[in-house]
Amino acid sequence: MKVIDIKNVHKVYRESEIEVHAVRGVDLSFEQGEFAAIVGPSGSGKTTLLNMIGALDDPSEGEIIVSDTTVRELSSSKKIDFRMWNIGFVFQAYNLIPVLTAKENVEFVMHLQGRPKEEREKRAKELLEAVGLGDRIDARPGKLSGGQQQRVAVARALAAKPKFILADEPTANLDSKSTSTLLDIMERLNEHENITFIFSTHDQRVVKKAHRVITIEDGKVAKDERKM
Amino acid sequence: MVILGAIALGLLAGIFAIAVMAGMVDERVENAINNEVSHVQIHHQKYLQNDEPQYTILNAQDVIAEAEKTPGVVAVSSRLRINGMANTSGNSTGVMIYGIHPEKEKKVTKINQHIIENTGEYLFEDNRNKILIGEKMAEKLNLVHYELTDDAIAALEEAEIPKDLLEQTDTLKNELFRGEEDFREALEPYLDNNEIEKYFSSYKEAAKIFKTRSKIVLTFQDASGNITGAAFRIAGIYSITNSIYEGMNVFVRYEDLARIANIDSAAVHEIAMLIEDREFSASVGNTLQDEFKNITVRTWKEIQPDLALTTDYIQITYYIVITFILLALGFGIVNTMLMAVLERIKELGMLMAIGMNKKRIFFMIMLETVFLTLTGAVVGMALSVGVIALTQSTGIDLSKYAEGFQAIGYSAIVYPKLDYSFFFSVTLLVIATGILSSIYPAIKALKLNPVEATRTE
Repeated sequence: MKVIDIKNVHKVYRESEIEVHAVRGVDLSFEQGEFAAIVGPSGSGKTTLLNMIGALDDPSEGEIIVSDTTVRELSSSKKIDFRMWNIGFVFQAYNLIPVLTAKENVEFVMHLQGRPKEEREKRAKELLEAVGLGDRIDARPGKLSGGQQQRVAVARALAAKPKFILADEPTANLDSKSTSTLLDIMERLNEHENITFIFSTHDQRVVKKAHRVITIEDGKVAKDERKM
Repeated sequence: MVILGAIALGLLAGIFAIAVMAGMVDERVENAINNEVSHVQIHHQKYLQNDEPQYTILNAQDVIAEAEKTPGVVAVSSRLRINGMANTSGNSTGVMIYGIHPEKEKKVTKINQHIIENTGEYLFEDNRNKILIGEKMAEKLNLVHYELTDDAIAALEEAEIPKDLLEQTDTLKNELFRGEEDFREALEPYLDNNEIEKYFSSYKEAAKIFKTRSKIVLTFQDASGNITGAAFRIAGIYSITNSIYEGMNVFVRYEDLARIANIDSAAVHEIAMLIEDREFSASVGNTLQDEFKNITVRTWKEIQPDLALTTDYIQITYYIVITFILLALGFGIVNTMLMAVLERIKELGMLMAIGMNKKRIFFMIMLETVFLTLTGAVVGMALSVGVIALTQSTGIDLSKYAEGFQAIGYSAIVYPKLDYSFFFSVTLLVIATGILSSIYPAIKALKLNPVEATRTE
């Protein structure tokens, strides 16, 4: 089942008088359950593409259709709702709320969705156990290692039951062991729960694990390889 | 923490300044009521336009009886009140002579509690031809001399006058000076201008001697318009916080004034009343005004409109001062919250990315600002209550400026005072300031682009 359909997407930034073409006519689609990495050198446009897929930014031209919804046609407040119900984000710098515990961070998005307390607590606990942090649910981010924080971020991204998860350089700040643990967890979730993961990354460890590697160069898809 | 401290200290400063002002004004009003005008006064209708002795209150005893019966009235005194001249061998001055019933008067005015030590005592019913004068009147009539006695020097030592100055001025010991000017001139060779400025009032107070055995001759028109008069011996000298009043008003027994002025022994020029609560003055006054014709009933606000104006004006001043303080705080809060928004670009961007809508973000910033402001305000108000309570029990001693304060009727010891309803109004104003100050930072937060926000390192 097609989750994301990207049709001839362009993105042009205007910096004073100069036009910067970050993305130049990308056509891609992602099926449910993919474990894909978007790679490319810095400035190639992979993060811009990821932001557009995540409804954080609009394409200058072309369309992105997520589960039959053309994202560009949504108003800015509808886009916020759309993101909440459809997309999970994992950021490079984890971006957890420092004053909340791991469990509260995971619960937060469910709170925004208006889910009942019992459901929130149960699911947050389950997700933290799934990412191997069942014993740290009451720890605040400051008391967790970078790898553990990123696992909380993955649990948070999953909490809203999104259609797919976008992870922008999720391992950039992690050591090898943490990276390996995190990737194993994400791979397991992908295999067992059929959750779609799309990464933008420089990290070869991520590339090795990915089932599909899309290489972006100069804003265009240079290669699209499927390993299986 | 810095902004909390700023809010707390700003409010403390503002509230304390207001409490000092309120305390001064309230004390002035209380002193004026207790020592000078009382709550309500009644006169013959024409007496206020032309205070001739013949304009006595008609059926005064009925009015007094009715006044005593009126609910809320604590005490009533009746007086004769005649304009005249006071003369001593040294000087003369215009006076307002009150003929009072000493015991009844005690219940209405508190002059009996303000007799200067060692100058005598209050009037007694059987004190024939005795007079109570104010300290300022004593000065005007040259009844104050100055002498550096042993007691005076001890008082100066207690007032912490430098020892070398006391040694120098010791040569003036036991020398009598008949007036303030003479005393000052005598001190000038020993004290330079700054020292005179700084210490003369202490020297003056310590060396002051009242000629309490002197006689004062009062002259005035009697009921038939003839000039009459009599000599009075000083019973005591009173000192209140209003030197203008002290310099104008003298008290003698009712019987003495009635006899000399040839006025009927039941006649009354002025009825003064003390009421439980000064706020009820107008309603008590109106009741009596409706009951009796040919009298004019005035409340303390009408008798001393300057005081009424001051009390009303001070209310406006409270709000002007607090508005300026809150305005300044408002700018501080805007600045702090803007910084807070900028520091949390990443966090806010993440919240927007994962689905926190603009309304929630706006209210989150707004609530944070209001809580910050309220916390500072609660601390500030708690500190204010503490400081006011502390200074209320000890008073703030401004006796260095006593002369200036007393010239305008204010006490040199200020007891800060504030109505608790004021704190309620301040709380509301602080919440309003918090809400208003949060709008700009909240709008700034809404303008953040989640892409930029999540990208920021």
